[in-house]
Amino acid sequence: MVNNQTQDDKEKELQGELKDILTQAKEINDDIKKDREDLDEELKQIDNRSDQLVEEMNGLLEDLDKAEEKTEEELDELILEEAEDLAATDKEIEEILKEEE
Amino acid sequence: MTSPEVKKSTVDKGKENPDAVKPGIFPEFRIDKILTQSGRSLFDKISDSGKAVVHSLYEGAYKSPGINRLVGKMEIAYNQFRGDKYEKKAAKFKNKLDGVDIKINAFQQAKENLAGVIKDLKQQNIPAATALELKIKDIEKQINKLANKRDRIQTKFEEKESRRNLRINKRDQIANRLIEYYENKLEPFERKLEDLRKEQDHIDLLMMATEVKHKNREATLEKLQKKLDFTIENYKRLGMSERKIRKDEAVKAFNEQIANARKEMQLENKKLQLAKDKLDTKIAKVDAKANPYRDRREEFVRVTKVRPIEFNVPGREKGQPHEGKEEIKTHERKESEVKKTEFTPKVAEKIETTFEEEEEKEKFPVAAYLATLNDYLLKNYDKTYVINKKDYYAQTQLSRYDKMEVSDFRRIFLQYAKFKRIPAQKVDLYEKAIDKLFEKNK
Repeated sequence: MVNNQTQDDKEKELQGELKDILTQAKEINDDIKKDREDLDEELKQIDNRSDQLVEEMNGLLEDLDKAEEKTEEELDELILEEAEDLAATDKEIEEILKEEE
Repeated sequence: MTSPEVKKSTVDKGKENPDAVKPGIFPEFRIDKILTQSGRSLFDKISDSGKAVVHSLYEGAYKSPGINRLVGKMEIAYNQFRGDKYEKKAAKFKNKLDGVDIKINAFQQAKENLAGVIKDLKQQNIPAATALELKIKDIEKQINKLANKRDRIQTKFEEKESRRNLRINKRDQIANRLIEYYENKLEPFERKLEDLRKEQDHIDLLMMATEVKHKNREATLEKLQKKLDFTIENYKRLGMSERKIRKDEAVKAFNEQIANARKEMQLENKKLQLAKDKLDTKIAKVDAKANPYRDRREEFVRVTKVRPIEFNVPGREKGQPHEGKEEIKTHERKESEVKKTEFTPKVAEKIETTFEEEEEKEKFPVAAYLATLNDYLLKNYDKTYVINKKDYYAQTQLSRYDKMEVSDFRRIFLQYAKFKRIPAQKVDLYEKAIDKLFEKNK
């Protein structure tokens, strides 16, 4: 009878220890979960911020594209005008020389 | 003259990179591929001889391999016209003026000779002088005609030259505007790129801090496992069967908790790695996209440093109508170097990974490290050197109670300094302080 009681007490004691271990394991698990949730949130923010930055950067490059297109058109115009002037100079001077001869 | 358009029969084989026109790939040059839409419609309107000049200009420029279209055009505007084309034109023009001058001189000489003859005849009272005087008037008329012609040629050329100078000013204006535009757009671009790199450093910081946290968690889990094993052994001593122990709800729940904890930690690592890879890809993509613009900006700066040559054609005595026009512009150029942020590799290189080898190192809470360090910094320097603890915890996601070895604190701290872009000199000072304060615990 006494032996059985001792056995029961020991089992109860061990169960108490087991519960304690389990509680600690649960606590660690909760901490890890919380960490992971915080990290998720932080990474989400980094992702959003970087997306925003990339979008702004692409916008700047698009502005440069437009400026380059406009510049190319202006350069074409200048070069063509210059070429036409170059071609015309000789002809016009020849005409002056031919006049009244 | 045959129009250059006749040459338009070539098959475009360079589609993979339309900007880079390689010699041999385009055996016959196609002007319609090079001009913009507005350029094409203007091209249709100019004379055949003008078209031929345009054609030769563009063809020459695009024979160079890998040339960008826009840079090529800027080079034409700055280089092509200043070379042969104008020198030849100037030489031709000078020849024509010389021809007229020779004629004028000949007439002048004839006039002087006749005047001499008239003088002699008059002295001798010979009546023929009147007829000769009429001849001199004829010569004077010829001289005037030639002088007028000379002036008209000069005027025509000067008019062209003035127009050219106006175009040079306009060209400079276009180039400078674009260079300024590059500055205005690339500077904020580089700043934003730097912000992206900071985010990259932030992820690295989080990875380091998480690694230390996991190390602590794993150590705690192992301790609990040992405790459980010890309890199970005691159960066995009480005569409980292995099978019964395994079926015990608390044991089962514990095993589940341990498995979940490890799974969560794995998931955390995976997420961090994914976030890092994703950000690396974003940075690589956007950085590569900016490279052609950076290159073009450099090329533009280089091209626009070339100044036009002088015509060196004879001017008339009346003065030059275009005098001083070109000198209005200062042609100042900014430094062509693109600012690039350099990180001090020293920080990364010095990171040590000895913690795995030495298992039984003493650990202290982050709060203790920071408090000791800040006390030291405040005593020996000033409050500008003190670490903002609130920010440190927020950026690392560490709690004040998270314990770690000195080597881990040092490693995480240096990554935090890198992320915060703390100047190298200050970082050096922090490193020395950490070594001095925690040396015995290393």
